[in-house]
Amino acid sequence: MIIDFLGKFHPLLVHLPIGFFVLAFALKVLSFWKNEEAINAILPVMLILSFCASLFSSITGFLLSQSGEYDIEMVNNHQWAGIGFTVFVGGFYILRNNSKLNLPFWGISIILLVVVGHLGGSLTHGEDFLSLSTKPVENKPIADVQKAAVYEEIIKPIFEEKCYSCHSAKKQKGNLRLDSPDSILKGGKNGKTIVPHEIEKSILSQRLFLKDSDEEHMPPKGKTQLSNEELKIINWWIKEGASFDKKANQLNQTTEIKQALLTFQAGNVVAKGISNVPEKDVEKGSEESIVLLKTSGILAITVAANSNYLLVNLRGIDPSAKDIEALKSLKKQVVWFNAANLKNAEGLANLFKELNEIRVLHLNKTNFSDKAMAEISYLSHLQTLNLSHTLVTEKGLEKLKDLKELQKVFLYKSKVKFSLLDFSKFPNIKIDTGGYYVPTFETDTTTVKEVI
Amino acid sequence: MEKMIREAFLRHLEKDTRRNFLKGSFLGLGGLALGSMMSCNNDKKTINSLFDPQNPLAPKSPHFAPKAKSVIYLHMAGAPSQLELFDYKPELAKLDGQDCPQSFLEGKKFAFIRGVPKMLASQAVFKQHGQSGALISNYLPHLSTVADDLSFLKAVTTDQFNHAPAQLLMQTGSARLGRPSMGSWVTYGLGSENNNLPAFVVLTSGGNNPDAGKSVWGSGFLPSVYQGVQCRSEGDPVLFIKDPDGISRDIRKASIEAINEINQNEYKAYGDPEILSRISQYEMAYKMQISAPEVMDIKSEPAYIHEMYGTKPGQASFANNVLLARKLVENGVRFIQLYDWGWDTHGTSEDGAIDIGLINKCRSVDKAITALILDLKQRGLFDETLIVWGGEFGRTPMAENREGKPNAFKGRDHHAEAFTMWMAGGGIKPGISYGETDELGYSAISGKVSPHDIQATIMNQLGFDHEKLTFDFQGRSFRLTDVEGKVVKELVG
Repeated sequence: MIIDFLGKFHPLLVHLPIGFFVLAFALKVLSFWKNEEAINAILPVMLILSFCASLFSSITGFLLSQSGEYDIEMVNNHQWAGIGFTVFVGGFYILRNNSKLNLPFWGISIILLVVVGHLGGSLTHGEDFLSLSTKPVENKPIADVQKAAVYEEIIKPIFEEKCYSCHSAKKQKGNLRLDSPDSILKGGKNGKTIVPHEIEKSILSQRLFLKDSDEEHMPPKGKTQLSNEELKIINWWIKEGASFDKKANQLNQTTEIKQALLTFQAGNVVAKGISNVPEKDVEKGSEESIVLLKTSGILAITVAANSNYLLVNLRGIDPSAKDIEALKSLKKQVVWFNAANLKNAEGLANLFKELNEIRVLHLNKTNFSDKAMAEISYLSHLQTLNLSHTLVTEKGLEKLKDLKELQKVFLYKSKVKFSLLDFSKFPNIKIDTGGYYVPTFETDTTTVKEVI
Repeated sequence: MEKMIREAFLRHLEKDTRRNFLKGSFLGLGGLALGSMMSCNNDKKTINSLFDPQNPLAPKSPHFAPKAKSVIYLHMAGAPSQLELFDYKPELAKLDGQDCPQSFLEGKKFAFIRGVPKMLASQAVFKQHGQSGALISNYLPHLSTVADDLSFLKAVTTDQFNHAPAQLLMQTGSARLGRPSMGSWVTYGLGSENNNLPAFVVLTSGGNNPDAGKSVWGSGFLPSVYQGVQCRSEGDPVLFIKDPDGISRDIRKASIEAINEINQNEYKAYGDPEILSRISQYEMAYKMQISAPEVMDIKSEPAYIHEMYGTKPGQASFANNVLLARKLVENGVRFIQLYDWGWDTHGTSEDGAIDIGLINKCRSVDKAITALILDLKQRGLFDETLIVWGGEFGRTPMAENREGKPNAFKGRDHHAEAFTMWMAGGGIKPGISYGETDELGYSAISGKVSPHDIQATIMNQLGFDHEKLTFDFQGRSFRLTDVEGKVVKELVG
């Protein structure tokens, strides 16, 4: 118990000998230029400090290694390099007045220090920590998740990414390894990691589903957490028997699981949804145009602080010829356009020929009519079109047929005669005709009273 | 008049006299020195970059592209009973009238329940509705028809069981006074897209203000220009919005300009940003004289809309407020807070009985809320307007027994451990039910959601990382969710 506790001071103490000895070395180098006497007077103190710190580090290090959570081979190398360093520095102190041995002592001690430090670092942070590439390990994308082997292609990559750093060949915190089916089934010091079919008895899922703030929660604070989908899939896998060779379609799936599985599939658009702001950012829109519009009372502002795409809100103000020009100069940036309540929305028509990045367009409560609808067909990225309270008729809607990305059109209180509108012409568009009605029930206006 | 001018003149002179300086600095100077001695980072500049005193309501971009542009928050003050509306518990019916198990009472504190209360079955009849199979009771027959548009949070949990602190926690992120409300944070972060109307409007109904008072729409330590503007739902929406008799629009304009000039001079002299807030409020008031009467007047709405919402112009009602909220959203108002008072069904009176008063309360909101959802849909605004419905806590599965005696009517006590809220529109995935309570509806067993989580989710829909929208005050950065809050990922599309 007390041994375990003392061992925990090792990661703290190791920094002391490194600091002392590097400082001593730096002073020694400095002494070739100046203050030789003063430095030579202080060096023995530095060396004895390095030795003592190193000795304590070694002792606590040995205690820590007894926990058995680390790769034995790596611990061994680190241990002997550490002991070597301690002995060397001790010897150096004793023989410090022998000027012949001075140079080799410095050289060997410094080399040992670097080696022991690096090995220790690899033990705590993982072997690949000291590397230039910052790219995370990329998992092979799954082409068809239903045909994927659940453990090999879905579960294992999750473990690899989020658990291996502490529970694999390198390190076995809690005596647990998750890098092979055998070791997964064997479990750790707290018992069975996985009990097939029984989530409640599987420590793995207990730990994963604990509150983030709970000390026992896995992965621990500060490490990358599992996503909701990953959690769902792991639980499902255990519930379905934790098989190491079955494919996804061989296991029972609820709709929830089907959806979660989809997120592991390559090029998965369904789960993400289509955004109404393009993924790739553009260059900044002309500041001059934005200011000019502002003086007319028209709002042009980026949709988000991290984006250069713009939303434009005319605030019911009919733009002047100058404003129109300014808007045209922003054609690459404008994605959301609100022209609601305009007196003369027809005047905007030729603007749409240019502003073809628009995704969301509100023309509600304006005089927009069929005449101008032809210009809408230029908006090839249009997703949402609000034509409620306009003069548009079913004829005008014909112009929307070729808009591939259009998803929703609002036609409440427009001039469209729905009896004449052929909805089958727009199979991919959700047409909202409006005119909803909430019936009045008798109970809506009566009051319940106590029955006496 | 002359006397007033003289007084103002003297007041002004006072600022410069030696005696006054000494008087004022008796504690002040010492405090100042103490302050700078104790402060550890006195050269750290306060960065509240989002606040521009010259133009505090200028539109600003959120952190990332928002899903919702406006929020209508329907707060049922008093806390409606989840067990009569959304949380169907057949097991509870079996235990009706039996003593409450000890495990529910040990170590727990209730507002009114004393001793061992009896379990109380739900008084409502539940049915699944829509394709999502959402459980909604017969207390809300209209809302049931739009079940597929709603997403439920069935395991909301709070840590306050009294109205005022619980309302404060829900709306300001802290159970104590002094924090800015959600709407104030949003206005601080986004400014206003509308020049002529406030960005944050509050409407109340049910005969009373919420128990926590106006603090639930206060601006706390944020500049006061961000506080909610409470409008009346009866008569003039804002008092004194018409020009007084005998004063023409031009004189009005000239006088406001004169006042603002004086204030501008004051600002130059003292540099207090609150003076600028005052100036912009005067300007806003003048602009509202033009646009508010038109936007705020529901009389101009056609008859079929009144039929749909069940509104009667001229009468103060929740339904009128809901219709007004729709009009405000149409005109670019960012955050609209509706408080309906009277949901505190303890069973001590007929109005507070879960089988009498609660039904009447439901009838007064059911049709209007349903109409709001459908009306926003047909106007193409539902996708960008987030609607949030809920109370400040839930109600117990036990019948209340005030002072150890059964209450005169069927009622339930305050319950902090589990209650239901729902969200709709504004990029929320529709038709979801998230979280579960145990079989008696006493506590949350999965999908627990806290008021901070709800706030984080609302902020997320508006394009904010709730951890990054901060304001430096008294030496540290504050935020709506304080040090907590997680976006409910299951609900956001």
